[in-house]
Amino acid sequence: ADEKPESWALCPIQDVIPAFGGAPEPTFGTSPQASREQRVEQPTSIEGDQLGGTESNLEYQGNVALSRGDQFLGADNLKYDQEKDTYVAEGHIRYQDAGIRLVADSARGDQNADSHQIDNVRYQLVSRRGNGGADRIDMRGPQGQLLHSTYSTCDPDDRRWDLRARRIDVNTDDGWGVARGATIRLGKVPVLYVPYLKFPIDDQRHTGLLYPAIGLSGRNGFDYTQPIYLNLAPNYDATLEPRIMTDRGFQLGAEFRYLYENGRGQIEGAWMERDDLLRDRANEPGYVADPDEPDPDAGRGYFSFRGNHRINRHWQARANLTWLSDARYQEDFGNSLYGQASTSVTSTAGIYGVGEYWSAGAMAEHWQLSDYTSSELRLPYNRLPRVYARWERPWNHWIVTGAYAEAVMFQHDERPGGNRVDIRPYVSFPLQGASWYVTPTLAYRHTEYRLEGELADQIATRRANDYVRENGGTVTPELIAGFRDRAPSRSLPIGSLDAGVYFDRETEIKGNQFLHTLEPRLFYLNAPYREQDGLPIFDTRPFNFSYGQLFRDNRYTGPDRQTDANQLTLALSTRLLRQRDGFERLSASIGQIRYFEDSRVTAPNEVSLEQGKSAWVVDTNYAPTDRWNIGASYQWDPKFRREDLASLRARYLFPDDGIVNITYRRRRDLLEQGDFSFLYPVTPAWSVVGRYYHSFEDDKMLEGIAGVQWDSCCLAVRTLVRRYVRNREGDMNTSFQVEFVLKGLGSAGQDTERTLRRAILGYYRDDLYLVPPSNIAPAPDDTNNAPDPIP
Amino acid sequence: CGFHLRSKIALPADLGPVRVTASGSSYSELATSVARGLQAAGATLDTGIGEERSTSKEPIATLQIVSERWGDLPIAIDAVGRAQEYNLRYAVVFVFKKADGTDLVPRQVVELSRDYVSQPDNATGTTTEREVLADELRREMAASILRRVDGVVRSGQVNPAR
Amino acid sequence: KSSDRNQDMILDSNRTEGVLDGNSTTTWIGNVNLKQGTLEISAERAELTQRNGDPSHAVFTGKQVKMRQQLDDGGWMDAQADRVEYNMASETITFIGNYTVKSDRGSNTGQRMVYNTVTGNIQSGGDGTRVRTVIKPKSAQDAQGKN
Repeated sequence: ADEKPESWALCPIQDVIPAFGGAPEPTFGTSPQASREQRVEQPTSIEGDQLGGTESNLEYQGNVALSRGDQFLGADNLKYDQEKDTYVAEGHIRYQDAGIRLVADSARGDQNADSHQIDNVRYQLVSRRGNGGADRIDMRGPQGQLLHSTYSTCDPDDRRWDLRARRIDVNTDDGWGVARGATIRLGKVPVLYVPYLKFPIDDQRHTGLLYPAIGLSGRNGFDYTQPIYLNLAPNYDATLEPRIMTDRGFQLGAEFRYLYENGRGQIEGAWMERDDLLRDRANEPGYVADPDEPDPDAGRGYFSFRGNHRINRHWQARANLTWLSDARYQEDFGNSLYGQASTSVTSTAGIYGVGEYWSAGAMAEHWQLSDYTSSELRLPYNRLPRVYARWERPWNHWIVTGAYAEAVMFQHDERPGGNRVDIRPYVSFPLQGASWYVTPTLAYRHTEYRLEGELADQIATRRANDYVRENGGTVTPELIAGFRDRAPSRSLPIGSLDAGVYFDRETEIKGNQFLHTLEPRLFYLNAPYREQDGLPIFDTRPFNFSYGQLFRDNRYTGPDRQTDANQLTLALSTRLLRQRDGFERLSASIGQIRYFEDSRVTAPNEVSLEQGKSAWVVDTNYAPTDRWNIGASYQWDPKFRREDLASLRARYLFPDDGIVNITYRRRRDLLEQGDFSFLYPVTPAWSVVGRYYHSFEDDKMLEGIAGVQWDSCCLAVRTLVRRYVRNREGDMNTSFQVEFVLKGLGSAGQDTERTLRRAILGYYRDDLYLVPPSNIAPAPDDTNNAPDPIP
Repeated sequence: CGFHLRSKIALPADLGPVRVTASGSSYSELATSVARGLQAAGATLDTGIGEERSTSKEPIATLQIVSERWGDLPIAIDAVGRAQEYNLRYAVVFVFKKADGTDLVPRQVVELSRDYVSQPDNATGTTTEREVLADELRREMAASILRRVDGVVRSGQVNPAR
Repeated sequence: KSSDRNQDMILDSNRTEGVLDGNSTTTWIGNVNLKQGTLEISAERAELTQRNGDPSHAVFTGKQVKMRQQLDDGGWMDAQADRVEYNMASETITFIGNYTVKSDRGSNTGQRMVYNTVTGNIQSGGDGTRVRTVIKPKSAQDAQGKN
């Protein structure tokens, strides 16, 4: 996930070493590299009060200034040898170029080789706050070797932290600093000794953890990870992460990232030879091994690959693979509420194509269990492979023809599978005027299966039992054989009519001109009944009732069931569109379906739909100001006079970075929860962070966070107390995290930022919209920061 | 109460041909459906929808889809930490500039989302539901962008003096 | 070149005043031209002083006196200044008044500069004014070249 950029807002405006008067201002926009390359082409001009020596060996005295391109050197006196183009400068040295600015005692250098040796230096990097001192600097082009030097991004007279090293190599072109034998000091206290530390010195490079992550928890004991960054090439690099957990053992993590012209990818993994946690758990008295528990002696680890490759303008290949060594890995290695939220992990890989009138794809999808309390049996069928194609062609303004086709082979480790082909050609007539539209659509759906024998037997047996239960008699093999069909199919026409009218009026609210619309809409659906009990359930289930359901031509999510229907949806929407920029201030919709007949198609153990009225659905979204965003939806079932869903979501964005989220959700017989989370910047330096996520149904807090963040020019400290549901037994875990962020160098201590970003949506603004589900083509240059299952 | 049937709107005459571009280098379904919507509203498309960009260098009105991003986050967790409900979120940043570079519709973010339940112990059907929701979000996003363009253009005609 | 010294000196101008008797000062007025080997000086007015028959001291003035001489290494040196004093005895040339000295390697400007033609030593500034040297980049120098 990309990091939140460091903010230097709290730093004093003027630089540590201000630009020297009379020094040429670096031309804006040219990179240090460009200005350095131009330098060799530029004439060198030297100025001074007095000039002596000979024509070839000039000796300048008194306030000497040498400048060439972006390079400026000021000194008390300077000897310049025109033959060899070398110089020696003494006294009150001031040197500046596009990358670095420094004050020193003496300097020697060769203008042709562009190499300089400067003694007893105080320096500051022009591009960022990095500054410090050194006994000597050897500079050659972009590389600078600082001997016995210090580096920090703090103001010299406010040294909150600094890094002391035998040697720091700085390269102002690719923006890297490497310290050897470095001790990091907070204030005056040495906190950490690091033999090798690579850190970014400008904004170009912002890769993640390069500093150790230190933690302490009941489960892992003392937890120390020391990442080693391997910059293998400009377009691929890797990070090795050896990790020691005193209560559990040694784990090696690795991450490899690559980027090339047509795509990018990231391979991650971790492996642990022996995890003592498993042994300790097995030795606990009264422990009953669950079938899906990992074997204590086996090694544990995970592997994940995410990559996309652009084949051409239309086709893209994408893979999102994850493998876990055992079903309890997520819980034992996760440290956040979301880390273990999913009960299964999906791996998909395929090629996806999009064209002017078509979109298609061929993909494979595999599920793996990641929750030991569940079982392999309950995992969905794998779709190995699934090929789909969608085509829609408007011939003119009022005729559109199209078709949707899909062929899938369903496979499951513990259940018999089969193949399915589903074809749905349709024709629709989008008649429309300025203020109305009527779109009749006629589709014909044909779905065919080839089932494995065992699955056909299971279905036949179930149907025989249902038959006997309804009509009496006994279940006989002949009866079962009668129901047995390895190639069931179903075809039916589906007719629908979508019509609507638009009413507008102008209104003015608080001085803003608004377009207020009223949009009544009706949707009629008619489809005949087809016997579907003989069809298996591979990847289909009933939709959750929602406003979108009012306008769908099927009550089920997939082809395994196609509803019979004779129903009419009546819905009304109203919107307030600000005319200055089209901003939707308010959009509210209400709707209901009238079922004129019973719907006889059902999925296994689903109650069939009776004639009558569906639940009322209300969906609203209101943004009173550009900072507020409130969304609410409500479903009321008149038949049973009960509420199905009530949900409220409000979000307020503070001016610079703060945010408040309030949500309340109540879904009948499932959950009733409230969640309040905020990041509030009290002062530019201090900000408080908090979350309270409560389940009223279980009357239990699911996650609580309280934290304080102190920020300064170059050092930020975050402390965080978290209590969250840690495992499937529902036990809570309290963890205390402290993190020192040495701005410009990285942070030491646990990564609180990642925890916060998960818990408080929008903690880092870009989180408001994160990552595409695997089967939808992301914008290729979009960073793919999926809520990774393994935090 | 002041409501009247929506009147026919014509895109500003000086708009000229329109082109819809997407951020990524490859094809974007959203760009295609927005382009088709503009065409239905009477705009003449600079090139066939989405074909190779015309080589004409002179600037023409462009509706640019700056960025498309999806989000799929659990929004409800049960007492033992299993996700019960997810929120599929789709956000697009777009801007509609006239040929002379000025804004017809200023740059703005459109955020849409759909919730879907995922039973922790039986995930069958979640993927197909999410795929259907994603299609619906894409169609709804195109409609929402066209509505905003329509709103701005309509205000331009109703009180062009502004 | 250092060999210029023992070349004969040719001096001409529109008109001259004064007596050529070995110990007096003669003045040359109107596009004065001095040649001595590769050394060439041109000015509006020149005053030549002689000591027992040998020219000992010459002062040239003009709207920027121009002076050109080839150096021992073959490169050329061009100079101009408001006033140029050529002291043959001490074999030094003094440029006074926003002088500019150009050579293949670069140029040097200032208000006052003493140039010793024998040692090649230069002395300038020190009187509160600034001295400035501009050295051409290596590539430009090679291009012009000393060939």
